[in-house]
Amino acid sequence: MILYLLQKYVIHSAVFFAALVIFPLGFSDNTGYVLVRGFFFGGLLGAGYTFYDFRKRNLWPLYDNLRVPKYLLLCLFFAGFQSLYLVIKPFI
Amino acid sequence: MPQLSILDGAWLKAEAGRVTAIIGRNGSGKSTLMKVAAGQIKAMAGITIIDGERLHGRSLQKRFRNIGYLPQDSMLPPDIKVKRLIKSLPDPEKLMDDPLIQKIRHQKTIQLSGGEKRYLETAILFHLNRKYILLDEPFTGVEPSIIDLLIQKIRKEARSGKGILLTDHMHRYISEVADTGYLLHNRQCYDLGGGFSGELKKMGYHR
Repeated sequence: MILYLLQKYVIHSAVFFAALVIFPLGFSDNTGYVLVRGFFFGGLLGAGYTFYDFRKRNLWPLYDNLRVPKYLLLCLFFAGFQSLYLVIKPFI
Repeated sequence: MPQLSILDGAWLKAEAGRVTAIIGRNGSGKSTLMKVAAGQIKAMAGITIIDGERLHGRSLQKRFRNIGYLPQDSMLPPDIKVKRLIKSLPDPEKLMDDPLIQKIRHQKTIQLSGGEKRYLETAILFHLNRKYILLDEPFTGVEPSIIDLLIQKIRKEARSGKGILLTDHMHRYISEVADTGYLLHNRQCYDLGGGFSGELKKMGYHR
């Protein structure tokens, strides 16, 4: 179930990231800044939306039953999402 | 801001090895009481005591060491296969041996009927081996043959020493399986004691 949560987090964050990066890149020559901002806010909005989506679909009780620490996992996923910038940095 | 008081001074006690039922009309606060006990919502006042440990806040990690909670609405992700879901549990082979689960294991949860979903959720909770299980409407929308299986499971788990707290509108089944019960009325809990089927008939809860 942790992988399921990760999968949803990545999808949501990627959508927010794309929305926050593709449009501003056309108007800015500072690619690094736009990407860092995109990863930060994309990851943050992704975590918030994933939490909201799971609450709306009543999935959190299953995670509570399995004793999966949801807040900690979302924080870790957010941190992991930020580290993606370090991975792509040599190529920009 | 408008406020609605759902429960006021309500209390109940569920013991290990016994099935305790909560009976009440629609909107009487049964599910709210379950949610408070499971830490899904925080009561404005009051505490939950689990085996002497007093829990004031939601304290999910502490609560779920001892309890399993079946919410009124399905808690299963719709786009996941039953097999994958079960593999994420400890000791999944044991659960896979269940005949009904074997039948549905290659299906996605969205493809399951309401009864199969309810059975799977209940089986997962019992499999987690918690001391107390809270079941919010486990029989609603479930066909009688699956209800019989659920009743057998509930009885077996209670005999093995687990405390079961359940609520449902299927009063005939509830009075069949429960050792003791409480009536939730006017935001308060009233102890019905054991063998409360006659009491419920008198009050018009079932014929």
